[in-house]
This record gives sequence, structure tokens and C-alpha cells, in this order.
Amino acid sequence: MTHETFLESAAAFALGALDQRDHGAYERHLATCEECQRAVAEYRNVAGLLAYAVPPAAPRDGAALRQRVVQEATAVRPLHAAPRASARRSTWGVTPWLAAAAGLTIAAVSGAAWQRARSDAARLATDLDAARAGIASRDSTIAAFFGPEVHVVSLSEPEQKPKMRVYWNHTRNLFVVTAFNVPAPPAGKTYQLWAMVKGKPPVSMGTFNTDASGRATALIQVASSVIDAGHIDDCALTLEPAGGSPQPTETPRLIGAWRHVD
Amino acid sequence: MSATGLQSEQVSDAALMARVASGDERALGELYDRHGHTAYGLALAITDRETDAERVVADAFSDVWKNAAATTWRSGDRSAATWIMTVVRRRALAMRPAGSGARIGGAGTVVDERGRDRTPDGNVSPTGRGGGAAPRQPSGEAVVSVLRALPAPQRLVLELAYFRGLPVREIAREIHETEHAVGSHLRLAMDALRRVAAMASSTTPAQVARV
Repeated sequence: MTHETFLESAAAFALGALDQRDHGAYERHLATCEECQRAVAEYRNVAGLLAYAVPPAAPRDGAALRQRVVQEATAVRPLHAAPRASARRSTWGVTPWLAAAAGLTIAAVSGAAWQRARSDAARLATDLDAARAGIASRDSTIAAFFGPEVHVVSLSEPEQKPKMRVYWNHTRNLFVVTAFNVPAPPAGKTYQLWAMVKGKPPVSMGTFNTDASGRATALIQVASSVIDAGHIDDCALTLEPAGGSPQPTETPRLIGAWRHVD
Repeated sequence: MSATGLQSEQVSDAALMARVASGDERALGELYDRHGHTAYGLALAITDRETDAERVVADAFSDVWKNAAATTWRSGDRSAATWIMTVVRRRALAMRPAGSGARIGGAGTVVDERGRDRTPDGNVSPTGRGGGAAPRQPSGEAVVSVLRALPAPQRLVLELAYFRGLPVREIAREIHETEHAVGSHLRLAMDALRRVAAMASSTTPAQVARV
């Protein structure tokens, strides 16, 4: 598709009216085309305005719905959330690894004990940017695996079966990491995921640890540095000192290419 | 029109969103007061079922709560209200089996005086449905008037894309036109609305630009 064709499809893209393959191609084009970015932003505003084309409506029991809305929404907030006062971008200085680390929110949960997730996260989450997306109810975490805006990467050794997967849910801005056969790291070390973009240095996606059974499920908030990396080709796993490294210190142990979940 | 009337007109939506992002539950309640009826009206238009619409609104505000600080929404790019309605639409479309839900009038949509669009066989178009609901915000009136002025094929394609979430390919199949023609209709319809959007983006409904 030529740039002209992409520009002509900006409205359709903004409405989500492209099919999966065209949508993916469009996302990749957007990463490097400012004119189309502007067009899409304008059309997104138009799309938002269409919500006002239908009359507002009052639900049957307005007070009850209001209470339900606020209760349900705020129920998923982690107990200890202590967000930064300053905007995320303004805390990022020259050092890219600091910037990447500042954007990470990590919650590692063992097994499927989502109800215990909150206390686990309080133990395991760092004091970096708020862990608000880290703790989700069981339903919404399962929902994070599927949907029209989820990409997945299966990481493996070359020619081997996958040992872990990462789902990228663009709607929720979350990585859902599921490892099923990755040996627990030795003391003082941690696993780190990297977003690999051809021709650019790897961008850290976050760190996690597996337990003795080689399994882990982790929710990681997607940092702006990852989003800003644009089109990402691969995902790689390395073993790093605890706390993670600004850049990988070894060649990847596992690697995979991102694809769209169908 | 907000649920209980604007209670804190001094605070802009953007400022409210910042408070929501910092974990202020009351700010979320205020956002709901401002935008809940619009959200519910949209959810109802798309899902066509009250219980579903209630679920959609609850889930959408949950998404807003979780993502208020995320870069997927940037206050420079669009208004908080626009973003919230995007979230509501996404949730509402996910609630329905693909392509079903919103009742779309045929190409012969006719607007009657009470603002309720009816086709000759009595179907109700989402734009203009719900006589007896609160009057639309000023920019809503502008949007509706532009929609009503659109050639029928453009309006139909736009409604199918927006309220049913159908991709171009499906719309083409449904209305027996080529994908190219559908793409063209969609683009022209959206372009017609761009001018309204440009005017409305500085003062969206229920938002007062004082901090």
C-alpha cells in the first residue's frame, strides 16, 4: 500500500473498520508517518463525537448504577498504589534505562490465585509508577488474553517448543506473561523481557521470576518507552542481575516474533 | 446532559482525569456524573439492551479508572470525553455478537419531528432514537444535523461502522457495494463531520475549560 492509500484509510482505521491484517499493516505504517498520525488523531476525535449523535439516556436506577460503577471500578485498584505526582514523561531524563525502569509496574502472581493477587502484589511490586493495572480480577485478566487488540509472542529456543508466552493487550496497556517451562533464576538474578526493533537497541519490557516449577504469570504495565519504540519485531528473554539491566548483558535465551491473536 | 447536573463546573475534564489517574475515587464519580448519561445512551444504542448497557458502562469506567494515566490516552491528542466514549464504544461492541445489536434504519431513513428516525417499515435508527431522553448537548445537535444532511449511503455506512462495529468488508457484503465504494462513503462521511469535530474539540459537552 502506498502512503496515499494509507491516508485514504485513516478514517476507517480510526473507526476500527479495517480487518486484522490491514489494521496491523496500518499500525506499522503509523509508526513512521506523521501525516497519517495526524489524520488518525483527527478522525478519532470525529469518532468520539459520534457518541453524541445519540441522545443521552438515564438508566432505570441511576443511583444504583453510579454506585456500582464506582465500586466495581475502584475495587481493582491495588491496596498500596502510590502513584507519582509528576507526569510519567517528565520524570524521564537522559538515561534511557532509568526511563524504562520508571515506567514499569510489576506484579508477579503464582498459579491462578487471583484473589491472593493483591497481597502478593503488595509484596512483589516495586515502588515505581502505580501498579494500577497489575492487579485485575480473574475475569478481566482472562479477558486480557483475547480480543481484537491483542498480540502474542511465543518464546522458545531456536526450533524448539515454546517455553513461555507474552500477550500484549493494547486495550488495557498490559503485558500478560505466562511462563510454563523456564527454570527459576538463581539467587540475585531475574528474567528480563526485551522488545526488539530492527536497527535499534532493545527496549526493556520488564522483569519477572518463575518459581521452582518453572512457571509464572505476571502482569506488566506497558511502559511508554515500549509504545514509543514503534513497530516491534521480536521479543527476547535474558537473565539479568536482580532489578534488571539497562541493556541485555547476554545473548537471548529465548526469542520469538510477535503475531496477532485470532 | 449529566446524570445529576454539573456539580463542579470549575474543574475541567482534564483535571478530573488527572485526579482519577492519581487514585481519587471521588473524581471518578464526578466523571461519571458528567458523562454517565452520554455513555449509557451510547451503550444502549449499540447493545440495544438495558442490562447490557449497564454492564458496558460499569466496565468502561473500570477501564477509565485503570488506564487514566496510560499513554494510550493523552490529553493533548483528544478530550477526556472523547476518550471515554471510545472506551464505552469498544466495550459495547465487544458485548454483542459481531454485526448484531444496533438497529440500523435502511437507506430510506426518514427523520420525523421528534428526532426519531424511522424507516418506512418502522425500524429505529440509532441516531435520533429515544424520544423522551434528555435533550442533546449543542455539539450533539450539530453532529446530528450533519448526519441527516449526509447522502443516505454515507450515513448508512457510517452507522454500520460505528454502531455495529462492522469492518469495511462486512459492510460491503451487507449493502452489496464494493469495498472501495464503502471506503469512499466512510471517508466522505467522516470528512463531513471533521468540521464539527474541530469546532467541538475546544468545548466538549459537560466540560468547562476552566481549571
